[in-house]
Amino acid sequence: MTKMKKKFTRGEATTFISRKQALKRLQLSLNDFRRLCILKGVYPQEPVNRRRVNKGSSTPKVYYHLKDIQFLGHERVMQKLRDIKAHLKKAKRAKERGEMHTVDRLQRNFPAYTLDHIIRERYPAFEDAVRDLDDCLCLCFLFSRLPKERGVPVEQIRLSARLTVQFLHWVIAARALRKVFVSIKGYYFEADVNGVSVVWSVPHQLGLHDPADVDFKILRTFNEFYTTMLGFVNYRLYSSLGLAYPPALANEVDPSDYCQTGEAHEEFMASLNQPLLSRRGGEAEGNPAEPDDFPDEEAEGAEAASAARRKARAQQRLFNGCRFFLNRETPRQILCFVIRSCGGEVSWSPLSGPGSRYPESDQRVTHQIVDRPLGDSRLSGRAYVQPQWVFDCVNSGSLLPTGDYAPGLPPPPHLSPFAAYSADDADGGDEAAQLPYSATRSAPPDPVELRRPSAAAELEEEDDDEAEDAAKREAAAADAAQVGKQQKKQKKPSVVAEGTQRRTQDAKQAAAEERRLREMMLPKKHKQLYKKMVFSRKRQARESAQLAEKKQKRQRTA
Amino acid sequence: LFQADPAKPAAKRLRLSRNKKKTWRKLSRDVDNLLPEQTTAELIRRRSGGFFIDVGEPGQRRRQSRQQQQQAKVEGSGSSATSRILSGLRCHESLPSGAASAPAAESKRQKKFNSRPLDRLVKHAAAADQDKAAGPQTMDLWGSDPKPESSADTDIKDLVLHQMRCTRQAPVKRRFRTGTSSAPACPVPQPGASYNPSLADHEAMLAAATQSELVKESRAKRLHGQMERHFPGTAGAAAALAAANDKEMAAGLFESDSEGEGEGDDIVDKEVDDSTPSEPPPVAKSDQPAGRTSRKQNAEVRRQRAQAAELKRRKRQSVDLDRLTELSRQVGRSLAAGDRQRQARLAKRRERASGTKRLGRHRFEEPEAEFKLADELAPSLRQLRPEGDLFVDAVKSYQRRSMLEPRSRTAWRRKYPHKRYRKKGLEASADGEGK
Repeated sequence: MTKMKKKFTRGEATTFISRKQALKRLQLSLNDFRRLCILKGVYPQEPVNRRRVNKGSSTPKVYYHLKDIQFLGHERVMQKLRDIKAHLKKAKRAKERGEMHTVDRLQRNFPAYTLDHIIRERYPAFEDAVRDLDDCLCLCFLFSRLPKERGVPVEQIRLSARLTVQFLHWVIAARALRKVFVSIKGYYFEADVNGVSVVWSVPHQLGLHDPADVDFKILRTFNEFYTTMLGFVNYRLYSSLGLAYPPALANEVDPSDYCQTGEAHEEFMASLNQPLLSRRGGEAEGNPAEPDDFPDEEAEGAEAASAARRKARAQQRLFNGCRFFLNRETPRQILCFVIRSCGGEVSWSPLSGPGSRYPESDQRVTHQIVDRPLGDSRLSGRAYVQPQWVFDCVNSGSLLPTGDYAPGLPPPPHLSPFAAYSADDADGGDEAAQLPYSATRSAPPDPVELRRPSAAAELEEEDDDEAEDAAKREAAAADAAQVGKQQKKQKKPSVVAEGTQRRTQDAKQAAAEERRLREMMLPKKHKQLYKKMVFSRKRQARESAQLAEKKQKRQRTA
Repeated sequence: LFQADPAKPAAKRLRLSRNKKKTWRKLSRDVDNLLPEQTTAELIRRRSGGFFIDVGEPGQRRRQSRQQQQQAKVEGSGSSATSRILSGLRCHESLPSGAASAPAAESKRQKKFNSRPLDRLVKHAAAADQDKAAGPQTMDLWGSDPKPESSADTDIKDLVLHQMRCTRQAPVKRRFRTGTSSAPACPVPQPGASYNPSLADHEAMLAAATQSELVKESRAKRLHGQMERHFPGTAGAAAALAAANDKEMAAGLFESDSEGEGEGDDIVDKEVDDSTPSEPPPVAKSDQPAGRTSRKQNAEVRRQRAQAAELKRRKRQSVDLDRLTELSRQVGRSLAAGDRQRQARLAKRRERASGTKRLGRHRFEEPEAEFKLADELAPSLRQLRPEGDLFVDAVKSYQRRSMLEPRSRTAWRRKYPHKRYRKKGLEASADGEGK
């Protein structure tokens, strides 16, 4: 007689553990458990069948993988959290008893812990850390702008500010900035860090709202982890450029007008206008990493890649030789960062803050950034532009005509460099293809990219690569034929001999027939995939044809 | 179990269970059997004169049995005082080899730790670094060598050593369940949310915002309709109540109401004739006949039905042969439908894996995209009033990638002041006492 199988003793029921059970197992309070999970990167999971895991009941609970919780149990920081709890209890007791000397002693010996080993464990290689840099930078920039009264320790705010300024200095030195978008929510930047695109946001200078449903305790723990990580990342980035870390200013600065000597380093670093010391001593030359040139590449991706490289190179030298002067009403730090990242020189009035290099009256100034209606007090030899000119130049990769951005006039629209506008964008994007918000969340609508993960999942394990290659080949063939058709349509009616026209038509027909034959010969499981690819490509082609038509119509009427 | 004579090496490895109490009892029983006169402790005491310093047997090379070697390995080759003492005891001639040292059986992890080829290196590192304080490491966390690093090239030993130094434990293998969420960490807003958007972008954004508002409105309307259907009149309950109130208040005020009152008094009942009893309803006849005839009839009916079915089947077969192409097309269609269902299932599974997970009580709600109306657009960057909050964005981003579960504020529970009162009996006695 075989043993009766008991329910909920194997399978999903034993791989997941609820949060309450986890707390009991680890003997931690909820707050401490949350902190530990955030630090270690253990996140709640969703089991496929909640009833099975919860032994028949369907109460909504938060579940974790049992192995993750077991893994948490080996963490040294957990013991430190318990020590901190015990320490606080002692301090509270001493304070209430009036034993202030005990309180002082306890404060001096507060248990501390480091997160270095956690960072090393979560990011075994530097590339892994760079991939997670988005989150890190967003939160650090947010915390650097917090006021003191928010309940966050001042040291944490100052540390975030220092680290973010250091990172900005690296971007300036590496000329890594690629995109800037000024939205109603804040500034969005994209930089190229070791080949990985890193996107982060910076809030506007004006006041922070008081969000009711934001738990600052949790964000503080995230920030704690991310500031530690950013420190290490900065070190690595600085050493890759040959800069000294912790960063030091190359030149002597005179803080007398602005701050005390102790704060001089921080204040002048925050101005983003001082060159940094290199490792060997002396000013850093700032060698921007030139993207490599690979002439032998597949035809498909080569054009886009080389175009991107060319644009990146153009952006790195964009403001070479330009001297800017920023008026008081402009966002100084942001503009200084963007201009210097593209090779320009900046200055501002000494009354605005530390870091000014030359006065307003300097003859060599080529552009002055103003944001209010100017009177007649204009100096000759320089262009007066609005701040948006700088951002639009960086996004386009070239110096745009300054006349459009004169102060007092409404400037042309500020387009988002993150949205995929279609190629025919010359008239400022009035006819540009619109993408809904959801599209910016998911992968860009490239048919091959979109289909590849689905292809891998859909097809059986054995014929994975085979299917993909076969389908891609078919799609490429179909695409080529289609592109040919499109080009044929868009070509202006030229004087061509009849014979050649008929010949080309016959060739086209033959190609189409061959394609149809190959389609019929596709095995069934590849057919679905192929159909989807063709469908999406046709749709894109249709959309771009429509837009081209619209443009032509406008050009004819205009 | 074990050899009394330490000169003869143990033939079999001593298998000790993890249950230390049972093991000890077993061993001590055996020890007692062998040494009836003196206990082990007395023996040690007599030999060592109260205390002993282990210097080993002078001039005698210990020939360690395999079991002893294993035990030496477990306790660490001479690294701790306890193990030295135990190894000394082990070699005492009167003592059985397994008596004094009944080590806790190796935990699974320790066994793994000891059996790995890395074992020696790691142990050396641990021994070397044991006295060094594990303070803050250098800033160079990933190694300053310019060698190209990738996750695949990471030096395992290096990682293990680092772990060892920090945690003083063997590293626990962890399967990294990194989020497969495809959502970006910092979602960039739509082009229409630019501070100076193009007309098309701005209109598209407003259209999207309008759509979401319309959806909300339609949902509210649907809810309203459902309420009306199930509980008619409650939806307009407030208005109905007001109307009823007005009616009540205005009753009797107007002359037209009072005229219709007199007619309502006579209610003429219909004449009911109770003389003749009504006929009972007709009994429904069952189709089934009863008894022997019914069985015969049933059999006949069954035979006929079977014949008809057989005929039908044969006819259908012949028809089907003609309809072969049509049938094959049907089959194709059903297979395609099955295929489509499978694709839909796989797509759903993929979406589930890459999308936001349902954690806990609340569902994740996409935040509404911030927008500015046309007249709110700022003419210049200086005059821009920001919308939205990037802190909320950050929290939502974590929730979207299932790193945090969505939480709602707990409702404020009213705390009532404690009331103090005394039981009646106590009150009386207290008064009595007081008097």
